[in-house]
Amino acid sequence: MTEWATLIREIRRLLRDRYCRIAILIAVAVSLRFCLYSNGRTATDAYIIEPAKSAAVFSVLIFVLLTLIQFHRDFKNRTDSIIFSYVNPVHQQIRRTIGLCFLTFLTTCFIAVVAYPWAAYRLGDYLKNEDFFVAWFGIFWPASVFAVLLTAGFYMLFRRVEVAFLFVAALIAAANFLQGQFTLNPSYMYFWVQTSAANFSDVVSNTFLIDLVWWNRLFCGLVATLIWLLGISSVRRYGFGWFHSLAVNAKSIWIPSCVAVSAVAAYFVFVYEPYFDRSLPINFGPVISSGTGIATTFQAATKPPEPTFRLLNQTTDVQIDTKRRRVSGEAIYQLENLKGIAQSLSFDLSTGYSIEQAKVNGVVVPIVCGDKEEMGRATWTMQVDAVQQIEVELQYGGRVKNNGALSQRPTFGISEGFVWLSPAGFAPIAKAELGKESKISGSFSLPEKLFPLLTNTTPEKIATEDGITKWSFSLNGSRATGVSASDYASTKFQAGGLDVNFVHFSKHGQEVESMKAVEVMKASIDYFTSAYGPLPYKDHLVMLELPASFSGGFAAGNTSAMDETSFASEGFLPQGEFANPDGGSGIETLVHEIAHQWWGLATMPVPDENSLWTAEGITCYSTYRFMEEYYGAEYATKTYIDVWERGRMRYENAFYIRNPQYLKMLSPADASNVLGGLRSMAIYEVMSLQLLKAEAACGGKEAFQKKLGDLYKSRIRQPVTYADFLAAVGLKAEDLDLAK
Amino acid sequence: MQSNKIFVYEIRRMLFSREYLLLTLALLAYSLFLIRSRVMFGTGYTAPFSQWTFSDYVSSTMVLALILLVAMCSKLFTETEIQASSILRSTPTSYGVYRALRLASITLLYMVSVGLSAGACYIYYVSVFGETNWLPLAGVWGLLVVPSSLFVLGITLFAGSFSWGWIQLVLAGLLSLEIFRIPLPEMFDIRGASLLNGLQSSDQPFAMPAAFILGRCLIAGVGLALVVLSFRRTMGQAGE
Repeated sequence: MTEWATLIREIRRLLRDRYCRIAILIAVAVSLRFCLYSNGRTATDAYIIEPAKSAAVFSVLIFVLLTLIQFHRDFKNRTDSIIFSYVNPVHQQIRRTIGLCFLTFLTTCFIAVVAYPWAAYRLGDYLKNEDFFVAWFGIFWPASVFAVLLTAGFYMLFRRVEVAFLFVAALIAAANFLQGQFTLNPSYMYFWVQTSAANFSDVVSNTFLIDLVWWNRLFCGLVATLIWLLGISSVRRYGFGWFHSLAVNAKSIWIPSCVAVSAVAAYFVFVYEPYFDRSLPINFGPVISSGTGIATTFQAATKPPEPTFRLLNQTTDVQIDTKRRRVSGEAIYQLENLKGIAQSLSFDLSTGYSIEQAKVNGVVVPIVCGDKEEMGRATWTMQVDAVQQIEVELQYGGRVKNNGALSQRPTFGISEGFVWLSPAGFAPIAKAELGKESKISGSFSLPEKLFPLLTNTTPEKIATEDGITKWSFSLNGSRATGVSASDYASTKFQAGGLDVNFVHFSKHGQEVESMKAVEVMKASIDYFTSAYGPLPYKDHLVMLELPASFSGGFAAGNTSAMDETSFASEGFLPQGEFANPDGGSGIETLVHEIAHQWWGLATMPVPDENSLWTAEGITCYSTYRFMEEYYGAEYATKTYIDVWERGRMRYENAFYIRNPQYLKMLSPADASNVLGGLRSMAIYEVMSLQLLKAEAACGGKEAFQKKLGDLYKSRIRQPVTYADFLAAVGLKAEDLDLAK
Repeated sequence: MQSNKIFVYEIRRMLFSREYLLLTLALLAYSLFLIRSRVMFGTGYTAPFSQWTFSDYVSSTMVLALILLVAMCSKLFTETEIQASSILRSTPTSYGVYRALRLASITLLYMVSVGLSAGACYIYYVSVFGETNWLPLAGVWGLLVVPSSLFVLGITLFAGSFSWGWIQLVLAGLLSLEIFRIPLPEMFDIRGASLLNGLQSSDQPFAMPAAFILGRCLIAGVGLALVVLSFRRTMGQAGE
């Protein structure tokens, strides 16, 4: 009988085996349950990614047990000596492993057949086949295969069911534990069961996230194969112990060769991981968070180093190749050597890029990259002679890497449907003083279907040829610009004295229309501007929709951005009436996020330990006041005040709030977890009621809004403490006590 | 004396079986997970050691515990067991006594496992909060665990008296109940989770509605009747 025929027979045996059938049945049933009941921030997360991730955990456990049963059966029945006397034990274990891996594939196919129509029904136009494939054949299936390989490997190494089980269980627990350790910033490559996949966008390509899934699977697959091969090397030969069996197995030269190849390959895959750099850890000391997910850095002014060069002119020509996912460009800088001596000149460039050629005044000169990577940038340095005027020509290119010190989430990159490059990822930034007359301009090319947005300027279309559009830009007062590009649709309107350009993903067009987003945005910006004051933007404001993977928002230059969940009419997270509005969706969330422009971005309310003061309370209060004006008092009272009152009752009656002495009995970490949950309820609901009380104490809505407006105008681009707020409204902390 | 020996032997046999050890381990691991992720916070903002929180904890572990019970009972009806019955019937010990001893050993070990799960939570209360008042908790535990266990035991034994395959159906039913979160009427809520429906506010005193208690009595009664019925059926099949 040929090896192939024996393999087919083993697979048939497995398919007839009672335990295998039960395992497949349970895995399919559990997975379908997760398809029905999972939730997430986006529809893709809720109906595709999260079900696959949750099902992967169960599937791993099921296939660990099944693998142990199948590998142990010969020894349990004491038939191993008979079987292995007429078949090669190594070949037998390989066949068994392949058979079990085939079962995992079959299970995945069964699930996919049912899960796909369900996902198509729930997602409609948002369904992207690539996301579905990655979820079930990139996350779920490989996790099950790794479970088989690891369990088989450990079992063959130790030949003890419980030891193998404990080893695999420890690996599952370790992956699970590491996923929650944000401060350790563990590599995404360790998460072998569920991967780091999350926040998948409904409206743009998820290529950046999918890249990480496949690289994780490559690394974990190599490690699991290595352990399995070590197990294969240790398959006991009849009458021999571990060491003697190892020696006999090593005679088949392919076994040690494969062990060596997989070990070396795993090493290189880990070391040369291509998506994150080795940026130095970030100093969070000067960072202030308002508790909104938006953080701002306030640093005491430090004396800038004496300038050595002045940038006079810069022209850049950049090609963004979405097929090869690379940037290539040429930048020409005209600089003035302020000291007139021979000295070094540096450029900041995104990590992942290299400068292929550097010329100074037409002569090729060496340029070297520094060892240090920081905030996703590397510094390239060249020597220039003692001449006054210099012209530097740089040819650069590469594939952008992300800041590896920051939570292992990809922000920047290039894909066919979405491009996002930081300023240093667009063109090298010269470390030189920017002269008053400096002219920075250039051009860049992109596929025709992508519409670009630059953070500090508006690009102009030059021409389109062969599906590639060339754009020009010029900067005024800033030395660099980042670029994002996608299939954007744009709506322009006037609000709050600004020309507002609302740029959203075309695919969200229907949602934006159905929730009357433009109307609501216009009305809310007008309302908040008249209530508190104008936003600190020059001339115009770009409201930009970001992919869900950004998970929050930001404000930079004239751009204010918020992720796509703000523009989804349906929420996929479990909704409770005290759910965090920043994690929800619909008009309430959209207005809440717009109100954050005043409280959280333009000014930064700073939380403290003694009060519930954060940007959230004042944002909720502002949202309520707008909704009262927009939808009427009855709606606002029912949707806001009644909910806050119930939240307050819940908060005040909560056991740990009534009995704080019990918090001290918990470990500091546990107490912090418990308080964290209660505090998040309090900062949204109790603080909002405290602001209503402050309003009454100040003599009514108008008086209070005016005082808030004065506070806003006096603290633009600055932190706002609770003391600042109390001083502005002329109240004491006791005046806001709801019990009085 | 002979019965004692058989009982001890059966306990040892079951105690060291893979199914029992792995499922008990899984139950304990899940219990610890629940203590850290749910009990510590207190159900509905009540105290972590309130009867509300404890009943939530017990009902959350219930299905896994019942799966353990079904897995243990299924061993009574395997093909090997049926083949061995003809040998057992030729021994001086009555087959009925033997079956009763096996059932007693299963019940004892099952109670040990669910007791360990409840004990883990109690140890947490004592060690972290210094709460030693176990009596109210024991009452909740008894009312949640015993009727559900009796009911599932009865159904499993009754199904097993027909065929081993029917037990797998019971197992699949339990799994489906948990996996698909199939809602059960309050009277037949074997998880006991419906008790929490009455929790409206964190300062609300713990109380069990009469309908809930009646339901527990009912499922316990049905379970007990099925145990007796299945025992008689098995004895009838064995010709005793």
